[in-house]
Amino acid sequence: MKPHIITISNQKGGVGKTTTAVSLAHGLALKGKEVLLIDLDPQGQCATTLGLTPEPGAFYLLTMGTETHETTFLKQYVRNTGREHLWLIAGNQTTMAAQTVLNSQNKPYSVIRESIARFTRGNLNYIIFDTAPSVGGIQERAVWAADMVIIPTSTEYLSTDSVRKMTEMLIMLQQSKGWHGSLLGVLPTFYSDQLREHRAAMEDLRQGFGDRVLTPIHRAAVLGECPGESKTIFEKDPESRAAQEYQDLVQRVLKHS
Amino acid sequence: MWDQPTPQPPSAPVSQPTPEALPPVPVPTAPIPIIDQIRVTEKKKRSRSWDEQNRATAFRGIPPEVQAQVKAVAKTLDVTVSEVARAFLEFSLESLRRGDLRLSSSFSQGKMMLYSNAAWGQSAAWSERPAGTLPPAPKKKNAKAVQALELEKPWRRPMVSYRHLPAGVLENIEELREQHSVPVGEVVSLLLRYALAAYEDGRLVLHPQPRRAAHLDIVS
Repeated sequence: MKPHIITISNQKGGVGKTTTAVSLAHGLALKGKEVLLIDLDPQGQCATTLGLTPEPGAFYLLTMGTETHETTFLKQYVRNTGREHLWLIAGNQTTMAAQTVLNSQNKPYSVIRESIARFTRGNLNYIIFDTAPSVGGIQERAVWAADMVIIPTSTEYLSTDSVRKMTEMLIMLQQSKGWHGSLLGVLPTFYSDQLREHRAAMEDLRQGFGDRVLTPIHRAAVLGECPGESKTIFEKDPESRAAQEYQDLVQRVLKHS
Repeated sequence: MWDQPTPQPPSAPVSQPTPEALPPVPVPTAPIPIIDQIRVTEKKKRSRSWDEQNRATAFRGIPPEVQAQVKAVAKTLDVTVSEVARAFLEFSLESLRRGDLRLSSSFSQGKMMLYSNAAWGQSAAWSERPAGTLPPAPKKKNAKAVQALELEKPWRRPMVSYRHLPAGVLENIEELREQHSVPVGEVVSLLLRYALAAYEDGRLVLHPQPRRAAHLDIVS
C-alpha cells in the first residue's frame, strides 16, 4: 500500500507549521502508523523539536537522483527519532542551496514526488512534509507531491490573507500543473476566542472554507515549551487542550486517508 | 385613494434598435466561493468487504463477567477473543458428547408462558370467565424493583459477537437450544462457563501458535 503524502504549508511564517507537522506525525505514530517526517524548512526545527540535530538530509533528498547507490546514501539520513514508528529526514541551511539547485536546473514540479517514490515501496503509512514560509520552488513542489494539504494559519488578518494566496497557488497547481492532490483543510492556530480579531478571522475563514476549517488549535504556553524540552505535545502534556486538539487533527487525517 | 395617472400627450415615436443590433448584456454572476474551486479531500469510504467475508455470530445474554473472563484469557495468550470462544465452545461440546458434561433445564420461577413448545395445541391457553365474577385485583409492584428486574433481563444485556465459529459448533448449539427450549445466549453462557472453569482448573490447556509472517524470505 502506498503511503499518504501530507504537506503542511503556508507562505507566511510563524503560523505553527512545524508544531503542526511534528504533532501530526507523532500523533499518527502513536496510532501505530509508520510515519516519515521530512523537514523542508532551512531552519531545521523539526529535528530540534524531536531532540535531534539539524543535518542536510533534505538537501540530499532534493538534489540526488534515484539510482540505487544514491538511495542507499540517502537512507543513512532517515533518522530514528527514538519514538516508535516515527522517522525523520532532517533539514538545515543547506536546504536553501537545494532550492537554488532545483531552480537553476529547472526541475519539474514532480521532482519531490519522484524523489520520495523510493520510500513509497516500504511499509510507510504517511509521509509528512514541513515546508518553509516562502515561495521559491520547494514549497510548490512539496505541495505538488502531496495527496493532502493542510494550511495552518494564525487567526489574524494578515495570516488569513496568506491563506487566500495559498489557495490561489493550489488552484494554479491543480488547473495548470496537473496536481492531483486535495485540500484537507485550513487549520486555525494560536486561536483565542476572547479576542475580537480572532473571532472575526475565524468567521472569515468559515465563510470562505465552510466545513474545511479544522478544529482550531488554541493559543497555549505548553506548545511553546515543547521544542525547548525536545518533546512533542503528546509527550509534554497529553491531557492538555492542545494535545486534544491535535488529536482531533490526527483523527481527521485518519478518516480521510 | 390612490392618484389616477395623468394622461400624457402622445409623443413622437422614438426609433428603437432592432434586437439584432443590441449588444449582449452581461449577466451579473455571483463570485464562486474559493472552496468550490479547490479539490478537497473526501472522507474515506469504509470498506465492508472484510466484515462480509468474516461474518460474526452475535449472542445476547452472555453475562458481562463471562465475556470479560474470555477477553482476559485472549489477552493473556495474545490471541483474538473469537479464537478463545471457539476453543471453549468446542471443548464444552466435546465434553458434552463424551458425557462429562450434562445439561438439564428447569422451569424458571417468575417466568410464564401461554403456549409451551412441549404441549403445542394441547394446553388451554385461554378460557372465558363466568359472567358476574370479577377478576382478582392486580398486585401492586414496587416501581424501583420492577425497573431493577427489567434491567437484569438477559435481552437487555449487551450482545457479544464471535467470528469464525465453525458451522458444526453453531449447529450443536442450535440443537441444544431446541432440545432444552432455552435462549441461545443461555446455552453459550453455560458452555463458556464450563470451559472457563476447566481452564482455570488446568484441565483445559490452550496452545497458541505464532502467526505466519506476512513477508516472504528467499531461502538460499
